[in-house]
Amino acid sequence: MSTAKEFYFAIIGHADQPIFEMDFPTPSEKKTKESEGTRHLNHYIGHAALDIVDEHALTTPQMYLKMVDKFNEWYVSAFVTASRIRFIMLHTHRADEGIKQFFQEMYETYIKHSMNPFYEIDDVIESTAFEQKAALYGKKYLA
Amino acid sequence: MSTVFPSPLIALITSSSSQKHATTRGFKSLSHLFFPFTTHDCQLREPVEDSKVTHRVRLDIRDISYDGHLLTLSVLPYVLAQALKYFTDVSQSLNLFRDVLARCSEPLEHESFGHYLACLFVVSTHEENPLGELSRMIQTQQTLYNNTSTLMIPGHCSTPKWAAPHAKTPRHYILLHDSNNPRSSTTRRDEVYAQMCATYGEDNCQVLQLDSDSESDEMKETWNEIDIFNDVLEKGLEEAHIHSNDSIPNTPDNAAITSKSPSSPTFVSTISSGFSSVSPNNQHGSNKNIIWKNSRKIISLQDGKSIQGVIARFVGPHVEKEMKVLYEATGGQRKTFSKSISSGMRKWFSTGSSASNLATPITYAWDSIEMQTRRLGDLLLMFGFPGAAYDQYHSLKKDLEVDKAMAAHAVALEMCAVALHAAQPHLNSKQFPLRYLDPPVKLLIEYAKKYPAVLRCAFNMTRIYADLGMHKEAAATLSQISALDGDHFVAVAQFLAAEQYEKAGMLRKASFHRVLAANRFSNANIPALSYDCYRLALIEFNQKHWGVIDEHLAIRLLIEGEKAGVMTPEIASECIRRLVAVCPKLSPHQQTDRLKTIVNAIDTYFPNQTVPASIFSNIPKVEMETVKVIYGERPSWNEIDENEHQSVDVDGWVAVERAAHHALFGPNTPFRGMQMVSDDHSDNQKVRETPAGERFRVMMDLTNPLKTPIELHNVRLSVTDVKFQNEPECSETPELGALPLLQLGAEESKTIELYVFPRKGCHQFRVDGLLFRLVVNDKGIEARIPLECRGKRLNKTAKQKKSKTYTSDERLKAVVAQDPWPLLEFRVIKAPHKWSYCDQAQKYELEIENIGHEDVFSMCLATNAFDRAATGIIHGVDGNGEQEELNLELAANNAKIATFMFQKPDIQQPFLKIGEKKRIFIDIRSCDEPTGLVVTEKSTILLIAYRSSKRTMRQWRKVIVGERRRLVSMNIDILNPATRSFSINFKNCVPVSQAALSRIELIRLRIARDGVSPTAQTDSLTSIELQSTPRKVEIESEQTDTIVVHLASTQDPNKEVWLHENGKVKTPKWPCPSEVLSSIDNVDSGIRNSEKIGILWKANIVNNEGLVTSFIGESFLDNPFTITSASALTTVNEKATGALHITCETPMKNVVHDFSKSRVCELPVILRIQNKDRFRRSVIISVNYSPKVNDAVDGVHLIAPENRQQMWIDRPVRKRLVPIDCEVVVELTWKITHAAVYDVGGSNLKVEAEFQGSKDITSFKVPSVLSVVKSSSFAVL
Repeated sequence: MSTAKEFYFAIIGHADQPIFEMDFPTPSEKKTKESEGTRHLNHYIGHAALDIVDEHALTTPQMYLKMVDKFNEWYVSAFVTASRIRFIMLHTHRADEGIKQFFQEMYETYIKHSMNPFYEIDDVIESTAFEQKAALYGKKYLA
Repeated sequence: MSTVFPSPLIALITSSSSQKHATTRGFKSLSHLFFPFTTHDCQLREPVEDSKVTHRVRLDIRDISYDGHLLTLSVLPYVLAQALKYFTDVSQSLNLFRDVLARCSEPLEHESFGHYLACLFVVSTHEENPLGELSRMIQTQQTLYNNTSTLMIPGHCSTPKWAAPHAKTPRHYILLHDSNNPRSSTTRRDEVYAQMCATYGEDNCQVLQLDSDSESDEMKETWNEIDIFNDVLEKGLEEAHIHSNDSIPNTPDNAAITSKSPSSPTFVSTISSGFSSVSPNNQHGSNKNIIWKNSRKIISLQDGKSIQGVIARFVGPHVEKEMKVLYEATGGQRKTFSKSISSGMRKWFSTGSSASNLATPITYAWDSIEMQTRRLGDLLLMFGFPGAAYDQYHSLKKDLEVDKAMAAHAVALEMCAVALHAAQPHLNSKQFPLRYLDPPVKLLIEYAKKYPAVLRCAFNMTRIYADLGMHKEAAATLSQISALDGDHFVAVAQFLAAEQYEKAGMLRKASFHRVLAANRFSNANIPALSYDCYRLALIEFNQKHWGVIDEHLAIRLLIEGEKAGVMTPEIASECIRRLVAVCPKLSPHQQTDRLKTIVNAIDTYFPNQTVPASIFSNIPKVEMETVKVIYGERPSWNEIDENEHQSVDVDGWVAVERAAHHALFGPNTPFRGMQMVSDDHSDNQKVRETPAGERFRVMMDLTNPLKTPIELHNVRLSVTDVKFQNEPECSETPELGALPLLQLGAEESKTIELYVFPRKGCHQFRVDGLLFRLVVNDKGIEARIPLECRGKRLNKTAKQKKSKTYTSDERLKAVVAQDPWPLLEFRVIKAPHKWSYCDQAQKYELEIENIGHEDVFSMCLATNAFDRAATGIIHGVDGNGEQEELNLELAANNAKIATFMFQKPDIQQPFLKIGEKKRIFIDIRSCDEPTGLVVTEKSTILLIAYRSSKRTMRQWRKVIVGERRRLVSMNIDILNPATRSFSINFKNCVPVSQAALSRIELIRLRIARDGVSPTAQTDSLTSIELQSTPRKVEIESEQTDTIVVHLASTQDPNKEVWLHENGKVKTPKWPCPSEVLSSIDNVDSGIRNSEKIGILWKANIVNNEGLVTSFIGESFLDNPFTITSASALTTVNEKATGALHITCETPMKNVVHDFSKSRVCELPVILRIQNKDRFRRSVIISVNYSPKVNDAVDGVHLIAPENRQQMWIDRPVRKRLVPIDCEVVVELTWKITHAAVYDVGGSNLKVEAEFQGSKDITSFKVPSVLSVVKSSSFAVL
């Protein structure tokens, strides 16, 4: 089990496609090479957790679903927006409060981004400003 | 083979002759022969209820000497691995795995499954001494009771376990009589049988007669199941043997599995408790195995029935008796005094917690009450009494739990659940005690330490959970097995978990577990199943664009598929497609690897064929917006003006083309339009013509999206829909132009030009793709990228606005024109610089050569610079001769387009014969800066069209979009209206810092008139004259000068004033510039007749880099004494025509105002109102301000910006008396707050007149005058 805190955040569209992804802490060059071999595992876990997320979303009125799944050392927390866009966070350590606040901030950022008339729902988010915001909130709440 | 409960095990000991009979008939052993006939209906009396129940029982008969018993835990993993490798389909493999596991795995010591219930002795009539042989076999069985003896059984098998002591084990003696044998005799059979009956009792002896002598068709596939099992067993043993040899010396400690062999769970013992080492059987040679595999099986259905009859006879009575004995031994007193002394005392004498102490697990003696209960339960379960069995297990599990015998408790719990589920299959998830289902697997993993038991338990629990509809729990149970280390066991469990998730509707979880299973299968070196699992997982990720997952799946599928040799083209295609899509997102070194993988995969799975179009979509990427089609040999690729369609809209081109067309073919010839180049900006809805025998060229940008270079060979176009005029005679496919090699660096873009060469006879074709060979490391693949251009998006109707609909784009389709087109080469001898000064004369000198196969009969130039262009032909060999100016004609269809005919179409002599050359020139006056009133075209279009005698034509186009800078500014001050004298002030606008020298010399003054305007003919002729003697007027940077001139009447319309006699130069004869009224504020646009003062100047400029340029230009000023500019529009009132002449002027036509410094900008306006009433009446005029917004508004935010009041006047009403023939000047001031173009007159002001002696108020319009207010001098409006 890794001792460092690691987070993988993804926004999932309606067709289960990732529209935004980010790792915290932002992987350095060296680390990127190391994690290339196992990076796909995060994606698999995140994708598989969507089944549980959807189940939970049907049974609770809350947007923040707390921890919904676990695989090996990875916990999966989730947040479902009003428009059924799913935020998932894979994390190696429990940080419920920080994750909750991060989700809340990212939700607001996402809403603002989705109001851009040139952005269509479910399109991949390629905005640098959005990325910077995510990185900022990641640093603030997930450090 | 797969059953819900374990089958009762029967030992078989055969004589060598009996075994020979089996081999002769094509079987491995007698148990092999018996296998399909071991199922029979067994009627037994249930001991508890004492009722008779018939149950179908399948006996598991094992030939101890030849087939061996259950496998040791060291060998079993190899056999299980072989079971998984047997099929390429994962479901089939898993079924076989479960069967092999059930058939071969050793039982735990806490259960009686896997213990021999009885023993069969088979002796042949062909034995010399059958009874002696029987005695020997009985001795053998006696020997097998000794646990330490391994001599009589195959080396890979564990020691046989017996359900009863030797004396109590039921024995049956079968005399095998093979009538097929030539030495067989019924007399001998009866004789031997009689001796057997006499020795062993009649009830225990039977005759089995096999009469068949040939293979029976109806029995053909009867042994398939056991054949597969035997095959798997053989392969597994061979593998284990190889491994055993590899790992010599082979001791229990080093029985670890190498990476190539199936790994065994580390948490669970791989060593059989009763056996010391892996010692695969080498008694059976491979030759023997080959015999039974390939030989025909000579057994008839009748023989099969005989076997079944013999087997059915001996088990029932013994089992019934055994159950009764066990029931009586365990019944009644068990709950109070039943515990065995050993187990009961163990609690007292154990040093610690024996249950939790892994080194000393609790064991029970075979004759203890617990084991007797267990044996009874097992017998009841095996022989069809699950309800009674459940009662036994239920009580037993509690006792075992109390004893802390957790492994025994776990297996009892497992069987409790199994028995209950079998007894009451109708129970649902709420009724079924779920406490039976969850703990056993955990307990077994923790305490039993034997993976077969764990696997069997997990499978049983999963089945029950699944039957109860609890698929998620079933999957969770299976997931617990991932704690084992055996990769193939975990893989099986993960795959079964995936199936359960799928049944639960959790497809994404299912796909994840399939990937996990695939990974484990891959680790276990079972690539076929790994591939199959990845393949099944792939479906769930379709179109989801999980780039990393797509890449991982694609790579794994390609690797595993290649290893297993099971890859299909469909899956390969899908893998490659995903890899291609994700490749640009990877890191550079990964991209190189992936590119190699892609090329290798395509080379392997799509040899000798072009890769399907859907695969290659972006390597390299075709920038579709750059696709440009050139119809014919001209223009050359470097002649195409990038601004052709960007700076001039389609309508602009059509207007000029139409003018040229009508000039060449006459005004009555219908215009069809002609397009030499189609690109993203042109109108591509029509299919265009391309000439036969000339190239149809396609230019496009190719971008390498990868961070690694790529190499394309033989890049060419793909042509389809080729149609010919006369199919049978001429069906030659158009020739294609190819690029032999194209290297694209990392993320590099290159423009390429490819062509199709349609011959005469080809009627139509379409380009639909780009073909090339992608070469990576000397390995190449043929690939094709589709070329499909999309038209502009439609956005007119509501439907079009809501959905994305596009026009068709026929750019890449062409109709081949069969008649040759004339072809001229235009060589630009002299061309102006890309930027120029305002009013500068720019000269184009072109050499034209007829390089085609047609004489050019007529040629014309059409341009939108109708008042700034002059053209002509330069005679002489080298163009040094006389220049012949051509007459300007305004186009019939558009007064703002001028045409110049080089040769009229009605002349029969060719203008330019084949091979002939001529020179022409085009003079263009650079535009002035746009002002408030005059809207100058941004781009100057030059279009030369020429035609042949066959009425085919071609064009040459040029767009001038040069940057313009102001060199000189001029303005006029009226000095004396009576003498019509005025001063012209000049200023050199080039700052000192921007040029080393900037000298402007005035050369000539003239009055220019617009000769083409019809109204020009009505005005009287004037000329300009200097007030003083001519002098040289030169101004350098930022200098100013003034000359005084006056106007005089003249008869010579071409009278000019040269300021410097020696400075006469040859000047272009462009017309007087016409002012084009803008369409701003609804003023109708049109050309106004004007008389202007033309000032010819010459400039010598040396810029700071030392570059010397010298050029001439002509600037034009309004004649201050004519009705100029916007004030020339006299508004005429219908009721009092000509009564008032109203002019409107503003000195601030072009204003730069810094609104950050002052929020309000003031625009003065002067109204001159002259009373010209024909009735000689004086008039009281009232100049009224007409605001755009009359109603009061609550808030400015409620009104759209364009509807708000933008300008305010200082005095809304101004009244004046105007006597006859007098003029009054009304000065007003507008106040505005932001930069825009304002109409300071027009509808914003209204003049109301009350004539003397009349009470009527007559309204007069005020002419519009535009004032451009810029926020900075750099602003462009």
